[in-house]
Amino acid sequence: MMSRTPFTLAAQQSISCLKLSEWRALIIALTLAITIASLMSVLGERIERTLVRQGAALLGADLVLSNSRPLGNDAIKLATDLGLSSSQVIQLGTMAMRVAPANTQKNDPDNSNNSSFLLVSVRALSTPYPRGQIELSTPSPHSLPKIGNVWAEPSLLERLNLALGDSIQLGKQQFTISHLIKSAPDRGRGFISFNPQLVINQAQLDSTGLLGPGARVQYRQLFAGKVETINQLESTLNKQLNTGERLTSLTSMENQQTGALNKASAYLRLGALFALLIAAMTILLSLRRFTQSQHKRAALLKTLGLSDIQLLQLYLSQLGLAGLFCSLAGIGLAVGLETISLNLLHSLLPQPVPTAGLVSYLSGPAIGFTILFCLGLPALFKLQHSNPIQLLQGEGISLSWGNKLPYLIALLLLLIGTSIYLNNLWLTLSLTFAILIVGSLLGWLGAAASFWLAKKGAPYYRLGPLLLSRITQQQRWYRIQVPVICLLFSLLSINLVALNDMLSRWQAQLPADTPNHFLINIQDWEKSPVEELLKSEHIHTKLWPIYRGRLKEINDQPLNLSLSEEQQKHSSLNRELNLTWATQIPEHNKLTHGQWQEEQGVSLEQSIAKALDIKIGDKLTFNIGGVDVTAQVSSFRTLRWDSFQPNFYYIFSPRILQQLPASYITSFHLNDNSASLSQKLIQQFPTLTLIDVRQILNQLQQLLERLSLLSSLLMLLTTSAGVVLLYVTLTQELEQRRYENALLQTLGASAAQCKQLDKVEMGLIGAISGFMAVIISELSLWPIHQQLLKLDPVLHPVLWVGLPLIGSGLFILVSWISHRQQSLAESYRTLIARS
Amino acid sequence: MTQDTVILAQHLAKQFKTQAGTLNLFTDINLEVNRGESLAIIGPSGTGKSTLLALLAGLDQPTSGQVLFNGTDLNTLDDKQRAAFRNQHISFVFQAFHLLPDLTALQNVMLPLQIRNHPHAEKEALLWLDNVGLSARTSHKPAELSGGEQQRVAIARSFATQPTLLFADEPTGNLDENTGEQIIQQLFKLNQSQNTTLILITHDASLAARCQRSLKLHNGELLEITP
Repeated sequence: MMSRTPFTLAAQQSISCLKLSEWRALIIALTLAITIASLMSVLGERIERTLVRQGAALLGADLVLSNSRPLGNDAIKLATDLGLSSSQVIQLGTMAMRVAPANTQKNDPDNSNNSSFLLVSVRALSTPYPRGQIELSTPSPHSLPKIGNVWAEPSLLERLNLALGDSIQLGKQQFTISHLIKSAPDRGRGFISFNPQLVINQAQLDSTGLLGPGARVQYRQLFAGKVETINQLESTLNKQLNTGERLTSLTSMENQQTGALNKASAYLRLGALFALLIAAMTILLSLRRFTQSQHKRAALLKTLGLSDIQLLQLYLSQLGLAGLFCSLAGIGLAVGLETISLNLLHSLLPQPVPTAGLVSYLSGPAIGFTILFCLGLPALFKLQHSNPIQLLQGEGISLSWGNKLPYLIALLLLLIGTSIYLNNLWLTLSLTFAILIVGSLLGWLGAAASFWLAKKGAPYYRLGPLLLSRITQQQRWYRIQVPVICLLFSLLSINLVALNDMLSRWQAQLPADTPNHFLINIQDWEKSPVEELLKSEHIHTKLWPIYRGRLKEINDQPLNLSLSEEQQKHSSLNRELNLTWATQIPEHNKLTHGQWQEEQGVSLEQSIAKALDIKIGDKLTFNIGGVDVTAQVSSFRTLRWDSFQPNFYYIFSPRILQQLPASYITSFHLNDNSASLSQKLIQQFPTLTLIDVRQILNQLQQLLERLSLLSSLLMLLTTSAGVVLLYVTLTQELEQRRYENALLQTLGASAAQCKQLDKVEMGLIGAISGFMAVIISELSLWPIHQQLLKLDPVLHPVLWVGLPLIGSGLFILVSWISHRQQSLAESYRTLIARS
Repeated sequence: MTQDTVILAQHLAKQFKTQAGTLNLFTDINLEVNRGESLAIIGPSGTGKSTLLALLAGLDQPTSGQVLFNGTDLNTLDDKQRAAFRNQHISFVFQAFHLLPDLTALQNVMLPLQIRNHPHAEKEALLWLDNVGLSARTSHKPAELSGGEQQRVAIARSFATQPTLLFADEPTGNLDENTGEQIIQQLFKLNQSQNTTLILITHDASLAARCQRSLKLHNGELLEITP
């Protein structure tokens, strides 16, 4: 029975202690810490699983070997030997021709008056995709299109004005559209994915005659199987890649895709770590006050016969019960916020989003208990040593930290626990120390500023000396309050302002006539009629010739001799580039080095020249459609990507390229009522691809808004943790504040004056925190604008006014909540009690 | 009630609600104090001396009965008016001195004057520190002063506002006998020279005997002690 006493008492105490503000603060802070830790873990896992799954589906395989020339059989043999499944896809861009409905023009497919063309992307499959599958709007009994059939995306039917069952001509063959594609893996990236997609059976590809010279084809070998075997194949193939061959694995694709998401996740992790640090600080301070409030009780329980061990059991059980309650509440909150977050991301993530494992949900309680016990144990050991004699002598217990060693050990344990949670020791340590150092600096600055201001202002304020006295006493608390609120405000405002500026100012900064449409794949014979049509619509724009080519030699040396291994990995060397010629430097380019050469030169974009270490005067050889073209580097340029004009890394002197066949590209501005011109263009030139940039920007804007909303939601949790910490720090010296107010009232001050003093103090500290946050925000936004958003940095007056005001308001509000004014009689008793 | 009456307490009662029920501290206290008079209230601890002082000073409100100050019922004043009343007429000297540790002796004495928006707070405070013999210690902080010096600063602070009524709650409780004696002498001297009414709360009968009148609070009743 005796052994149960501590646990029964603990259960009673857990509830009765709820009337203590420090116990309530501890419960709230712990719940928030658990919520944040669980939520971040669960969201992270679910999004990551989605990306991995989506990656496999997008790729259609685990590993893909691709080239613009037919692939050898070595890789297939190797894969077969390793027991991997393999299949081949040939993708090419070509014209699809509408064949008039059977009853009118059945025997005359070449009658151009009754047919229209459209640039499409054709995939010829030999076997179904090893990963992911082609979803059709009506199910097919076959896993591939039958001979003579084609599966098509709905946009092809819309643009060629066709219906299911109608026919199209691809090269020499006619195909019946048997099914509509709802979704498909391996759709390709870049401009090719804008084209309507078709799937045919590979057995029929040769008969179309599309694989002739000059065809824009990509051959892909798809592999799937066990992770280890795939890794083995990948490393073997990597060693023997031929020119132009490229290996794409899930990881390499994810690296491209998730670069931005990784940055966002690092940012969220910082938020989570910051929140955890704030919560830990709150829990530490709450425990300190809680222990103090429990000293008399502990001493009394000892006089009643409770042993040291039982006392420890009692308080450990009480913390354990609190941890259990907070875990349940925290997980509940995390699940709620998880649902809200995933709803926000609903349109951005492919559905259904895979569920997270139980471990993720439990990571919050794990980190919560780590914080609670690491910080709680030193305090409890102190409590265990309460001396009943103190009780008899009526001695007060001083609020001291005692031996610092247990706290240092606790801090270390906590850092280890957090590192395990964040799965990154280096990130945790560096961020924690960065936050602590920046925080200490801000705290010192804030406290010093408050003292300086109070000293300067004292002669002009009736209660000035008292304010100064108060501010001198509270310095150490300001050193916690100011940095926490200041950093929170900074993070929030950087988050909101950067996004707002990016969305509004960037678009506003673009001239009103900035091009918003790109027209690509204009063939040589279409150039004049397209120009005429545009001119008739009062659109004056330049059509740029495009030649697709690859850099082959520098100063007559092949790339593997002239470039370092690192340089050979440059993205511009792994694909065919768009090349052009011009008589003059484009208006949106700026010459940085050399001379514009009209006769025999090539002008390079500056960064590419730097990356490949190319100098003025170097000789570059390109392979353009099988023809080698050589030119001497005459100048370097900078580009403006936000000009929305066609941009080129390499611009040649006209004479070098003019004799080669070209297609054309242009961009122009269309007003909102542009539908008619778009329609005219597509009807008259069905092979053109018209890209509406506004749609892409809208998608981007939506994505950013969702992500920002999500990060604001998580920031809100961190802010709540910060407010609880503020509350706890304001109650730490509550007695001192009450005593001072009581004394003031007996010296003739009114209750209103006392309140005013509190408000002035809190307002001042809040304003300092806000003001410092403004400085940090502006200093951080400056490089973000200049480097990241490419905007002219400006100051944000709203922040300068808003943040100090919000800071003052927040401090005054929390102080008002944390300590009610005492009545006069209570004040007087406070004074007498101190005698 | 005469023209000289500063405080007239009639049928004062004070009850406290406790978990065990209502506690009647006193039920019918009557007291008249004249201008310039010195009055001691004595009694063992827990009898309600400090509560009575709080009622007389307008810091607390009686459950029933009234306190008239210069003929004005303190009960009829709102918070602001009561604060103004205290501001104008009342000062305290405490057993624990209650000086603010971060302010110098001068700043502590200036504080009530500043609250009153006194135009020459510093000059006035210096004068009072001189009066209590501390003109050489004006820039010292309480921790740098002895107990007696601290209480003299507190006395200077209480007289600086030239109060009508001075409440002293065990003013020598924290001092040794000699220092206590010096403080009491100073208190009485200033009381006479300023014609202040002094209400002294103490459990020291010999100190009480030095006042013009002594009253004993016992079992909720206030009894006049005849010398």
